[in-house]
Amino acid sequence: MDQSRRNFLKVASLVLGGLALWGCRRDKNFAPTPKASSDISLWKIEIKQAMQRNISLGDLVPIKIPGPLLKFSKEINRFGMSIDLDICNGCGECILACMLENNIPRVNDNEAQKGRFMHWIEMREGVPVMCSHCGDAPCEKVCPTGAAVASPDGMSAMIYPRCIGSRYCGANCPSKTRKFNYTDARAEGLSAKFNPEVPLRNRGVMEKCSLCVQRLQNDRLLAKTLGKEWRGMGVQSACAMACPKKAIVFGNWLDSESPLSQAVRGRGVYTLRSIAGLDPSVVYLVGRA
Amino acid sequence: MILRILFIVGLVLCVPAVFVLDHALTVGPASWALDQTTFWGTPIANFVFWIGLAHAGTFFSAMLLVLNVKWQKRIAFPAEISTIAALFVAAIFPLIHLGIPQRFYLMFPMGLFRHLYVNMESPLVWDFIAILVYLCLSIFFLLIHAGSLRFPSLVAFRRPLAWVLFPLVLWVHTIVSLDFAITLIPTWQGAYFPIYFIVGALFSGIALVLILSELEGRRLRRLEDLLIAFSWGLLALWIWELMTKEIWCPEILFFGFLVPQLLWIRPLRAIPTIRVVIAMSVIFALWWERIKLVMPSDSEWTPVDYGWIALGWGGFMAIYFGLRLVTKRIFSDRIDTISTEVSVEPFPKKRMALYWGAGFSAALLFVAWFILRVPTVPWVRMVPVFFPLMALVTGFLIVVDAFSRVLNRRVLFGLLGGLGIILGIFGGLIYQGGKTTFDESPTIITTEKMPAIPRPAEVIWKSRCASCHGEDGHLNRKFVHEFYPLPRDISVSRFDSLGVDSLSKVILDGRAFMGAYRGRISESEAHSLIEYMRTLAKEAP
Amino acid sequence: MALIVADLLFSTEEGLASKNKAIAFSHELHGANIGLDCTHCHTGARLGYKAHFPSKQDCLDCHRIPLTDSAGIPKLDSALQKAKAMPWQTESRIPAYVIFHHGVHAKANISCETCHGSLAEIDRGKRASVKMGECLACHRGEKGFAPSATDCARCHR
Repeated sequence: MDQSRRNFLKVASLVLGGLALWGCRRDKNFAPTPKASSDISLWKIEIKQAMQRNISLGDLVPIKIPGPLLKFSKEINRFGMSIDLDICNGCGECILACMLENNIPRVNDNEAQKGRFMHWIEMREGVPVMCSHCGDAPCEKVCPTGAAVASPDGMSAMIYPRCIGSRYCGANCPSKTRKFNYTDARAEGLSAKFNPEVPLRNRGVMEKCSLCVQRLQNDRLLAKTLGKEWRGMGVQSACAMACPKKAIVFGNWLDSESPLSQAVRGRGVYTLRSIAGLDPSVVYLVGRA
Repeated sequence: MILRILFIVGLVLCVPAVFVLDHALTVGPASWALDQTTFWGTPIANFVFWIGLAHAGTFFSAMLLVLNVKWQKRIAFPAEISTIAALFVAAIFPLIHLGIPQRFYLMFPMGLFRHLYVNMESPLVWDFIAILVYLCLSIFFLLIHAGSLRFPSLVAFRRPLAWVLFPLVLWVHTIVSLDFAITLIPTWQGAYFPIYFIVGALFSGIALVLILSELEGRRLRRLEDLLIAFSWGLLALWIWELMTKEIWCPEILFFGFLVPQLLWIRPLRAIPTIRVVIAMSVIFALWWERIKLVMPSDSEWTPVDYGWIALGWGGFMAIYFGLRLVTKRIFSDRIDTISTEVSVEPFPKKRMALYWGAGFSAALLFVAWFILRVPTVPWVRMVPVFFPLMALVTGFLIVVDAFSRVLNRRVLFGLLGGLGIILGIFGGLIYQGGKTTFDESPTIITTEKMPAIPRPAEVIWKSRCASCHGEDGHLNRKFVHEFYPLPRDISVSRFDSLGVDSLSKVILDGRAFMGAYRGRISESEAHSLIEYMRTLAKEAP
Repeated sequence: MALIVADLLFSTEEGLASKNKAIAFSHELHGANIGLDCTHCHTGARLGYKAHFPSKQDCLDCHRIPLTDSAGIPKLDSALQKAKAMPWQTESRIPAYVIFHHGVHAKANISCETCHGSLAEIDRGKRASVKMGECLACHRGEKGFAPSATDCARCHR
């Protein structure tokens, strides 16, 4: 038994040593909190940095014009966007507008080096790529908690407080347009509340293009309060508003009078090959049909 | 002695493991190799690996017990302990993997206070349930086994419980493989994944048990044969993988296939060290294969990625050898002798059917309740959780039955009551859920600012005007009876005589007892208000 | 230390601010007895997200004229004289990622009392319950109102 006592003492001293070391571990409370900056030029610099990366776009394949959703066949609204690649020159204005509208944080240098940008719109070979809000979204199917969830209005919504950060949605997204909050941008002073309407996200949750859901919500609630039927007429996403060439058009696929339906009329409708079978709501226009 | 040394080695490994764990939890997923396209990294790979190792214990006790293989008895007890140790280690990794680990409770398949339910379509939920059940049943199984050393009559319950556990093991790894196979990632797809995963898991598990049995001073020739057999089986699957996806990893083939072939050479096989080294090579190959499978891209590893090795092995060795030393001290070497010698009386078939029936109905009840609450879930997606739930209830009933034979009734009820209270507290906490969190400082509600878009006149009338002038324009007499002069009743003729300009001046600048609303009602709103009053006047009787 | 002293000295001047009420506001008196609509003071309740509080000017719309012979009136008047332009303010209990639109609920004929309780209860300090489970119970039609949207993105952003 003497042997075991010695062993016990060894073990105990090791454990205590470990605990003592643990006690002096880097304490995040000591780290100074950097001052948050809301200087837009910083955001512009980061967008330039991100646009220099070469991300392959993959093939574009023709699809049919999006119609009613299978899941919500009775709904009268399905929002989406079209991006006219004949006009778009990949200037990146949409990225900035999106970041300012949705309070998207910058990332620190270390993260930027690893390519972990938070931009909801990404330039791939000069083509802006964002979440396509698939009607048959693979991300929604695998989310364990239902934080990634379909909205009857055609959006693939993201409910931040319900997200546990399993990142299954991101792993299963064929177009890789979901972004994970690797760092606490608020603690590092990298996020700014440009738009009071949009919440800031925590570290550990997924986010992605929301189709400017806040604008749709505001407009919808006002219309309902006034007792009007709501088709989302007049609502525009931030990127569509900012596009200097008006290549991005936001609208309601199910409303023949919406600017979106008018824009796609007679045009070739394309999407990324990887999501061609998933009924995307955000499409590319190339040439004539 | 060797066990004791390895126990200490495990504890020493735990020291860096604690640092890694602490760092990983404070920094979050940013601390290991991931990017914005690869979202699943080394923790998931390690999880799959450790779940695979956990299968060894169940394989050697439950599966072989059910299949009536005699030689398993010599190694069953250590193997069962290794299952528990490996499962605990495996369970840590998905928790670390989560972006917000403290929200893991949202995965419990119950109606929370917020009336929300988990997404039963997600393999992660199946996984969570299956592994929880697997852990519970493995503990039950070990309890029965350990209990049978003191109360030999418990041996009769091992086989029925093994019948529950045996399919569950296959089920669990099938579900783990579905995590990948169900996705749209080309390298993860494959209908053969369940078999691939199970064969891989058993392969690494056998290698682990081989090492553990060598440490116990026993040599099991069958294990070595099995190792060779599985290496060929896995080779077939690797070739399949190569043909369908063109994935090719020479180092895995070397360590996982070529090295085990050394067992064909008799003189080499006779050396215990060589046998252990071969088994370690297999374990390494399978671990590396899991890593390659989960994250095919070559992201640069951080120290945390390497730290998982310390966390996994340190945790496993500390738990396994710790438990092994404790059980050795309690039971000394009776472990094999008693369990082999007691004649096993067959468990009554009727009671068995009753327990299975109860498990089946409980699972059916759960599925029915869930589909009733969440009608959108396709019932097919409930199938993966059906068997684990059924197994949990059946296994629990068997264990309760077993211990009700040997334990004092009061003790048993005390234990059950304690368990119930713990589960109740746990369930209650989950039901309550987290509090509404204010991640940002809450908005301050004060006075309404004038909106940019003019408000509809009806709304302004109802809020600003109606308290005196009445909703229909006929005075709120309850209030204005105090005033003198009374506000005039509205009529079309009065509107015409006063005119829009003077009326809007009254609204904006006030008159007599009427307050001035400039700054609270805009000019265009005032004009629309006058229009609205005109319609009210027209409607007036 | 100076801050504490300053706080003690100046916090009394809050006048009508909700925490240090010089004169308690009675919802019951204004609402039930006089028959004022809630939106007379909470002007946003019919149209906007927030119901909002009245400004000093809103109070003075009525209180600049002697309304009753009650002995409390002079005291009230002097308190009002000293009050800030925005006498009332409170922290919203709805987090930034959730929207609750008062107007659309008013439009659906859901009375203020349904969530806020009766006027007497409000005077006793009750505040509306903002638990998501309760929102959803009502939206599912379990509280006697017609079922409404239970889609997450209607209220979450």
